[in-house]
Amino acid sequence: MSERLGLCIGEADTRHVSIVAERAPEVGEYAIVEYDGLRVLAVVEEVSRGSASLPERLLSAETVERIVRIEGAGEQYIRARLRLLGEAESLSMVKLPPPPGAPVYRADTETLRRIFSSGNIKLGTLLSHPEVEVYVDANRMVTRHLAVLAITGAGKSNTVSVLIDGLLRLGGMPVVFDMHSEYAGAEFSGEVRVIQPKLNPRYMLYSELRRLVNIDDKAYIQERYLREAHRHALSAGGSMIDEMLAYLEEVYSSQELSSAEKNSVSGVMNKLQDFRERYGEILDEHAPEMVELLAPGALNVVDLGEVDEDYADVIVSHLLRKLLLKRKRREVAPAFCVLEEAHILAPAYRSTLSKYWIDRIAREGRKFGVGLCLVSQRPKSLDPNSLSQANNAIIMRLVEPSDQRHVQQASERLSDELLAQLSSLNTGEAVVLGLMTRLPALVRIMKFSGKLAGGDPDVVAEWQQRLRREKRERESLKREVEDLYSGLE
Amino acid sequence: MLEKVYEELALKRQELRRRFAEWAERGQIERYASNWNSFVPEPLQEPCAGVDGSFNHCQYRSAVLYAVNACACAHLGGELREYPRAEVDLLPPAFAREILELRMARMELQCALDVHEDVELVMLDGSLHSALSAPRTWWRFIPAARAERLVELAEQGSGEAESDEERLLLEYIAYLQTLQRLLEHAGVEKLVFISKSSTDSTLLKGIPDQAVYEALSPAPGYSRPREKLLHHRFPVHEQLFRSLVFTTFYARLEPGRSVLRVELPREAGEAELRRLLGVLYSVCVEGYPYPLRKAHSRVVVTGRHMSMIAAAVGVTEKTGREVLG
Repeated sequence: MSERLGLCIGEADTRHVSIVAERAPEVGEYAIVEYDGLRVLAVVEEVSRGSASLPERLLSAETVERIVRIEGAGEQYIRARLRLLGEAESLSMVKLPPPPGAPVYRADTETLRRIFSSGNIKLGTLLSHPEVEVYVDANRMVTRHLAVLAITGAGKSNTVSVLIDGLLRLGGMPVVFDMHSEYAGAEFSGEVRVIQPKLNPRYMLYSELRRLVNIDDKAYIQERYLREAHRHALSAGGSMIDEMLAYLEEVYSSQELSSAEKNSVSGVMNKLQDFRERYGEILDEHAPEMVELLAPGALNVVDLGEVDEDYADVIVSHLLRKLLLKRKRREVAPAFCVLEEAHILAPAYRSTLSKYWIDRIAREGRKFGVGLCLVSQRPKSLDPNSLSQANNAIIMRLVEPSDQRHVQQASERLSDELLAQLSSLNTGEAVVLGLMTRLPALVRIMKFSGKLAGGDPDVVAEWQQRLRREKRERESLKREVEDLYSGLE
Repeated sequence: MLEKVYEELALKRQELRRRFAEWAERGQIERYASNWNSFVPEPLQEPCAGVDGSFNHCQYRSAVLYAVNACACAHLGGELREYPRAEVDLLPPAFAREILELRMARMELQCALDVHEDVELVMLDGSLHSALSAPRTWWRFIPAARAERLVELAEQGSGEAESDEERLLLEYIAYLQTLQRLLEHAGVEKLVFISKSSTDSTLLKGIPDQAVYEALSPAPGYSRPREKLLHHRFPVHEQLFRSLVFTTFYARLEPGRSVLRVELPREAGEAELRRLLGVLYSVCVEGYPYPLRKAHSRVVVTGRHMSMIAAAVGVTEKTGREVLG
């Protein structure tokens, strides 16, 4: 039998019970409440400790000191509030609350392992029971999407790396939209394939091109000329943009066009040239289609570290669209798309190209095996629709109340009590909840065993290196001058 | 609802405020300044205990459901040990309050008996002199011969009451017998009675002495002790109780804190008073001996406790107050 934590007191319901504890349990610790022949799993949500001899009304330290001197340690009490999670074997809902006086034990390792160690990707260990490893269900994580949310430095990259590594061990196809070039030079269990963010206009859909060329669908005349130019360029081969411009120039020179129509054609030509200039960095007429470069069993890194946010938006939306399309035709393996800085790609209060496809995949990806992992340190800036579609969440330290509220509104599984934990989590500790785990858990995320390229630069080391270099140069120069003078003497 | 009360208050507020303030402002208390000895006690560590009791009851149609408890809290060098006693039962409604007061007082004495061997000083809440001086008017309704017989029977431990007054007499006798046992076993040297509030008035007419000393100075110290005797009749151990000399004085243990009434059931000199104040000071918190405060906190039986007890018993009988809604 495990160590007894305490006994139930007061009026319980089928969700909560209070106990008077024999030792201070930790918040997040699991317990077993025994009553009516049942073993009910519970988690400690609140712990309070006090002394009837030292009530809050005391206002003088001297008084407290005197009481402690007279009474010694005094009679202290520890109380805890437990949330009943379900019958320990099946996790089925409890139909009768525990009676006062029912004993409460620390949950045994075997029970916890049965619940938390049954997935296929190892994430870490239970915070309150370090001997229990926590695994998540990869199927449910991919098909029901995931949000990884935390302030900077709380361990998001490590968490994502642990998950990616787990997926690679399963032969999965993670695709990371790497906004900070963290993953490009990383070492994982599988191959790391870096995909250059280059778009070949030939592989762009007409509608995609039209949006980027910035022709409104209400400008139907311009739209018609662009469509014709696109169709022509596709069949002609060669450089898409050049072919389109050549075609439009030919149309413009035609004697049959009215001056108004000529204006429209020249407008399309101008916009097309603008498009080429604006997106020149990411356009490559010879680049292969990015989705074709994705390989299962490897980490596919779309390196967006040196690309502006606008370009990143174009790349991400294009690849997500193609990926969803290909998956619908079963032409590519199931994929798990990790979107770093998701609040930039799918912001709450403005429209981006990626936002549409992120939302589409959030809604449809489940059926076709395309999963999303939205990673963000600013949850309140993240599109709430996309966030609410993420049925799994790993939430690490979140300090801002507005961030916490935003996350709670998007996740019905995040109770007030778990929410309250978010600001006090240490680096690497997380609330894990959703369909990928049988129960919400406070987890210490394991350290990623591979190597990431990113991380905070050691700026002081860089400065000192420069100082040393300058000092060496000065000394060398001084020696040269001295040598020169000694030669003259 | 209380409109008339508020109306009356509006009319008399100023006058009431003035009356509260004026007795101390008239310069009449200064003449008692010489009664007060400013004195900061030297803390004197000694095992000591505080004893307090409490009762509450709920009157139903046929009986009174009551709870009485008392507790001694002993300060034994960095540890506070408790010696509790309690009783929950039914009583006939007549004289219920008087009986319960006596029963609580007896239980306090029993707690003092429980603890006295472990400590050098037992502090009891209240005043023994007041308790023994309280008029027992019901006594005269018992024929003298029957009263004598009851005393005899009680001394043999077999008294059986035939009336409400007789029940009360038997309770009183039991109290006095317990007191006699305490005086015999613990000895008068170990006992001190401490009152948080007292209405004893010997200095200014109608104003309790405690209020006078409270107003005189905020400094710690004590008043000139007075001796008191008992001239009452007692059904048992009359000689013992009449032989008691009570030394009473007022004391403030810490600056600005409440003045307490202290009573010793013996003659005591100034040196002894100062020594006693040192012991009290060493365990005082906010000007009051902590063991007494602790004992008080352990025994209070509130209305909520009574409701819980009634619910646990499953009382369905009416109290008669249901009609008030």
